[in-house]
Amino acid sequence: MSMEICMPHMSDEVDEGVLVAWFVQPGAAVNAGDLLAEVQVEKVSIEIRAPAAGRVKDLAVPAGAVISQGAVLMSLEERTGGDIAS
Amino acid sequence: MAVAAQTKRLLTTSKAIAEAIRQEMERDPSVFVMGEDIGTYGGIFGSTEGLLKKFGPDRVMDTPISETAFIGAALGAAVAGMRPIVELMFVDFFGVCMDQIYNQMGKFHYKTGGEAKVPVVVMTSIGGGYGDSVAHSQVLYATFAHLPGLKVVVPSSPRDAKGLMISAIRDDNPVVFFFHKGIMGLGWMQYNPRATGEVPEEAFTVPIGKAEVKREGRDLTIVTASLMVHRALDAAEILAGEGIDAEVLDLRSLVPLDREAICNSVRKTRRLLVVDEDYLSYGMTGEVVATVAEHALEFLDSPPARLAVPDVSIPYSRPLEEYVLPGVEKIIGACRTLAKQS
Repeated sequence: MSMEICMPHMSDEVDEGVLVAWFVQPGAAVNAGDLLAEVQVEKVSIEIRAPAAGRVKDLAVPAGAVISQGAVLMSLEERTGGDIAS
Repeated sequence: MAVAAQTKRLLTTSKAIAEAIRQEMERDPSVFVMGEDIGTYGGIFGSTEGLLKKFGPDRVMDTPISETAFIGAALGAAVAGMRPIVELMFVDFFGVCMDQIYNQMGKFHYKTGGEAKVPVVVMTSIGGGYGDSVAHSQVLYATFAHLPGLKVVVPSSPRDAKGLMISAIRDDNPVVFFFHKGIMGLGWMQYNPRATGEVPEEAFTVPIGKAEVKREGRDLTIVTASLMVHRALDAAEILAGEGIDAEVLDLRSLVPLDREAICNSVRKTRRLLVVDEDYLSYGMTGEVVATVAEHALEFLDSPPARLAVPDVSIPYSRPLEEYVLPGVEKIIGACRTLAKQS
């Protein structure tokens, strides 16, 4: 099953933020909790982590892009059966 | 279904530095961190992110705004057998604590007749390009490199930042670790794709005092460090399209300076441009040119060239700041001129 990962709501004052960095590429296998990206609104940055194990299907925005809160950042092909062996 | 292909493990420079410190703190209980906003905030440039939560306030200490006190405290802790990492938030602030750094840290081993070791890391941010004006935009590493007793480390990539930080922590000498804000991968700086890169997960070291050829070339050598490595690599790509093949040598450390790597590159390419974001006079560019003049002068086909901040304060005005900082266009222009000379 494919799930979309979105820019979280971080500020009531400012709508737009920045996709600071991607830490994965399309095709990467990830476990739940793995670091996917860092996003920032004004000077507050947070890490986006994988909500479930799976495979990175598609990155919707490039690093450095300005994005609205709620916008789709990437899609993750969820894997049933839990984490991959590390 | 086949397991998806493994892709590269990427980190920003800030996360690579924080990971290096975390791994050394796990390995060695004598390692600890102190500085302004390095705990709860995680360092204003992210270099200590996550450490307070993992190690607690005894090993990750937020300090008051009193650099001479907490940098002096780090020196005392180092002499007493600890391995402190202390952050000076901006190198521009060194004026209020320099006695602790150059008269105490730098000379303590010598003045105790070798009895005392001073295994301390002072890490500090450098550089401009984002409108922070005269006292938050300087580089100043040559000022520290001028003084005996301090090692001076200047990484340009996430991988080197991690490996050099681990080397710095394990070194028994005081090491000043300079990171440029523009290589950290911060959302509020101009986006820099080279601020994110492949970094091995396990702890590893990059030797202090070894330069690295970041791009091989035949026609001329660009010697540089820190963010200017990125600018030089961008310039070299464009110059390649004009038939000028530039070698880019990343010094990585100013003390010890890898004079052999500088001379080896110049012996091959026979032309030298030194690019530096620090001030021009009495600085890194002069030291590199003097090294080549002393050891490889006969190999030069043309006089060496230097590109650095002219000896003026960093302007607040963005157009003026751009005017004084070395950048891709200026490097390209200097290389074109150098390649034509005989």
